Amino acid sequence: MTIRADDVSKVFASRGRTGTETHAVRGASLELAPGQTLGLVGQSGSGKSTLARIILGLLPATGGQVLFDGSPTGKFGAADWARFRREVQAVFQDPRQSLNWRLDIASIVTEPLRNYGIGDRAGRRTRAAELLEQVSVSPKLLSRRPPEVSGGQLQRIAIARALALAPKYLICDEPLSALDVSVQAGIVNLLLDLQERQGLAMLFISHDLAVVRHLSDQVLVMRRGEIVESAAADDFYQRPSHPYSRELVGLAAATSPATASPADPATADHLVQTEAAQKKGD
Amino acid sequence: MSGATAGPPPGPPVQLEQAAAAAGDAAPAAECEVRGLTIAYRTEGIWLRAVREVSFEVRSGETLAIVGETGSGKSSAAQAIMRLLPAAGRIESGTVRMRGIDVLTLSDRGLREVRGKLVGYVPQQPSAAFNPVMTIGRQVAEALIVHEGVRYRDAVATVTQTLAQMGLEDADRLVHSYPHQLSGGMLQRAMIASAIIARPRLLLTDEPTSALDVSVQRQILDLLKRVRDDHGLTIMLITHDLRAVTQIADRVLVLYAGRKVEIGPTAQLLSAPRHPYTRGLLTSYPGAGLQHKSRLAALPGAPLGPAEVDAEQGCPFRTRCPRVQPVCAEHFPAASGDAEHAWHCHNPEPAK
Repeated sequence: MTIRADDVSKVFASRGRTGTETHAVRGASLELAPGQTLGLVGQSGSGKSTLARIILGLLPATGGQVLFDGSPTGKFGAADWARFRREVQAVFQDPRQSLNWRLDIASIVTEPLRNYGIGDRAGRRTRAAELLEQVSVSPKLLSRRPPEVSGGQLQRIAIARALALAPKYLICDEPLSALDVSVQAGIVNLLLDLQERQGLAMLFISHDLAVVRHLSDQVLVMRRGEIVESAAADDFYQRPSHPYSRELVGLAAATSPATASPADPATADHLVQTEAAQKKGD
Repeated sequence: MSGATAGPPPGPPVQLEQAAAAAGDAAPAAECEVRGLTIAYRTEGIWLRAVREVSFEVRSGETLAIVGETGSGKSSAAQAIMRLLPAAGRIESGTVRMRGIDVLTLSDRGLREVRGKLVGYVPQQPSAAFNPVMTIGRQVAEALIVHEGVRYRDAVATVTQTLAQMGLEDADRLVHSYPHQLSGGMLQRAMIASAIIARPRLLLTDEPTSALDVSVQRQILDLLKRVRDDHGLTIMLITHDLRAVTQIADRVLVLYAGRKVEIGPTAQLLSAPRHPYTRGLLTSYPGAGLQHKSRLAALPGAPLGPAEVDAEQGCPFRTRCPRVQPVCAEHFPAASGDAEHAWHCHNPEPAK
């Protein structure tokens, strides 16, 4: 059983009279096998989140298809989606925005169980405490609401919610970038533990190459809607083949304190042009 | 601006140059001097201290990075320096001197002179700070119009030139563009142009790169470096990410839960941090030489919330600290070290 994206494209038509089109994803293919972690790295606007949303069925593709267990999700009916969502769950960037502020933590964590009619009220309450324990959050928080909980704790709670149905796949879209630096490592460790303990397969999306590489078995690099490189994590770091990947690796090295070096003006100039070109291309 | 701080009512205008010259004799080396700054916010009728007795100076010509997470008080400190605290905030005690001028007691008119002319401010989100219905040119020109009384049409050439200096191509066209037509990186460049156009001595930037992509972040830092060198600017750079400033900062000040925990020259702070929090920030990131999928040296818990920051009698980091001792609950330690590298810790990391 796998999730496959097969030559997926997404074109957004602009609303203006100009009729311009934005090619957010261009023929992207990937395969997420059980127990495997795929890292998807790229800058904002490169199409990584759009691809994730297509895989999750939150956006329709305009070309290509997503195959779940061999069947195209484009032809899914309600029952197929219900089965899909039991197996595939998501964690988004900012838990302050992705979680319902009106619910208490217990309801947030067990909502998927309620949706699937699993267990009774008391059973779900017990399960909520178990789920929080899995993500190292005190059960004392069960009766709190999101505004009363820190960002790092909330992201753990979002992960607990995603685990409620014991899925086989977790799609994590920038799960660290809204969090304080000192709590990010804890979330990384939690995801590593979940991979190991539960054999979860993960699509881990981030702009942070060092974190992606650390967590992933395979690293995919996305740029302007295209997957420009796919390599095993170690190979990727040591021998990035696409010029853009080399640039990313160089930047990651340059911004790590251990190897801080003076900026290379040639690279900077090149990037200014890239940036301007990207804007024009939008 | 009224009601934002505990400053006195508007008084006679201040002659900045004179005041600066008079004070300059006493304190020549510091562009900005903050002493014992304590800031409180009113939440549900109670005043909670968010910044507690923070002191530091920004030396002429240097780049000082202020690093801290949510609730560290870094942005409050910056806003206090600009007298831009929101209405629910007040400065309980302490002083802020800008080239000897006491910023906290300035009249509104004196304040307007300080802003833009002595200190340029680059706020956190350029996309939110720009007015969406005014052209970039008009907004970048504002400091010139206010401080030098020039008309916009006479300022356009300077604006275009400044935008070009910021590495923006096509500056002639950009002057007439609106904010939504620019990318985040371009907006940040334009914001820096607007902050330095009236040639201030100090540039205060609040998270100048955090909303940007990694490669654009680096360009902006390179730009700040160049602007600093070209214009002899002093820079105060506020950030949540210690890693982001290693290339530009001469010194780093680390804040945690409203307290100053460590300050020192960048290289020394990175290679031999003495405060366990600074060390924790550095070691919790997957760096070179770490085994694939190994667990990171994560700090437990999370930064304190506002009520906890206010109530903390001891060291606010003690609940997460691997080196905690009983004394840490009793009182916040005085500074150890010297004038260059100082830390507030009862049980510091060993010297290297």
